[in-house]
Amino acid sequence: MFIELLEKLFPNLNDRNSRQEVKNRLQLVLAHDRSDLTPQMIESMRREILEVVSKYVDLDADAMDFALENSSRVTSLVANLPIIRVKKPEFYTVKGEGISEESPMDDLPEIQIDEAAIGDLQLELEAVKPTNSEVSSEVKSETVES
Amino acid sequence: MGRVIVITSGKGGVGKTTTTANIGMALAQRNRKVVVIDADFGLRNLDLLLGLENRVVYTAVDVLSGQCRLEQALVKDKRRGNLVLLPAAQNRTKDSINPAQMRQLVSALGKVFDYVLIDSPAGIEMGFQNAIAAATEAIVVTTPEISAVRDADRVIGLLEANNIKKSGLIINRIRPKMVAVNDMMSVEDVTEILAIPLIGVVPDDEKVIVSTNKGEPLVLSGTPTQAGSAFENIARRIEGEKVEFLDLTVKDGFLSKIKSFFTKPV
Repeated sequence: MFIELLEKLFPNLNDRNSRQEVKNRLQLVLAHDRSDLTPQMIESMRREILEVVSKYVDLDADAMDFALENSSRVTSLVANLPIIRVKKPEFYTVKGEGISEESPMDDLPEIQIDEAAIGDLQLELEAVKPTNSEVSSEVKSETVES
Repeated sequence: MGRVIVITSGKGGVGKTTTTANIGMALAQRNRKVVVIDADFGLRNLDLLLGLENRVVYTAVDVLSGQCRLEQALVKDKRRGNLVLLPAAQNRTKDSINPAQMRQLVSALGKVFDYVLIDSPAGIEMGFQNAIAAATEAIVVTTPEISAVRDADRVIGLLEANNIKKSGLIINRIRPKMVAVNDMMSVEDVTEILAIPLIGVVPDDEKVIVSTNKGEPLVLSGTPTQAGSAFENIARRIEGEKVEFLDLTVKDGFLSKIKSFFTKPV
């Protein structure tokens, strides 16, 4: 009785907002209805995407999110795959033998520089090393309903 | 060729037939020649809402089987002579007619009438396919409830797939008081979700039941009603007029708050 009285006095404190709830439920169910994807298809798609991504990075399985979203009759597949670590650290860290900060410069051979050859394309080509591209944590693909 | 508009919803009981009867009558009051076709074979009701049930002799099926001429099956409204009804057969099923036959009927009617309104049955099966076969425009009726909106969405997809590009949305039975306390989806919520142009908002009105009891569409009754003027506005919008939507927001003044506090059961 007392609580009901309070609820009537402060209707905004009452968090039972069925309008927002029904909107959320509708948006979810319509995203599925409109995409014509069966739950099995979504599940196997999820598995295969994870398989590919897992080749390169370790994913946080608990924080992963994989869902269909919908706005103005366009369905999107939104996957949020938090990366714990990258699997091939050698791409990103410098590894090498004999490099240490203490080694005095005197032990190393002198590097020659030929001022006339600066900007020579042939020389630059030799210097190019393979570098790695950045990893995005979000996979997003869109399908327009037919 | 007159405009051929199908009134459909997917879910049953959201007010398709009431909408057809009222829009048909409202257009007739604007001196348009209107024919309303009941496409709900086996479960016809449009004749009841128009109060014409005692005057039905022949039906669309009789016309198609050659048992009568089209003119004989059409029932003329006595209050408005420019509104006629083509009744559905009550003793047949929805399979007793096919989309080609529907097109045949509508193309004949379209030559004479400014508007051909087709009242679709609920569902998305054969009866629905028949109803939309001849239409070039659609009116989708829904209520602010989850099941009605979901079914409306399905129907909108089917209409697009069947090349009916021009669709308008009617949100029926909205209760402004429930929207105000966040217990019902608002007009904006539903329009945003379904993403087709809104052509009408009809408030929940007990007068609608009274009018069906009498077989007299609301727009005919002399006294103005909220739902009745909503239907009149829809007819004007169909004709291309720009009409403001009814203001259905709840006036929540301090006094009314106190009043409702004491009158609401605790």
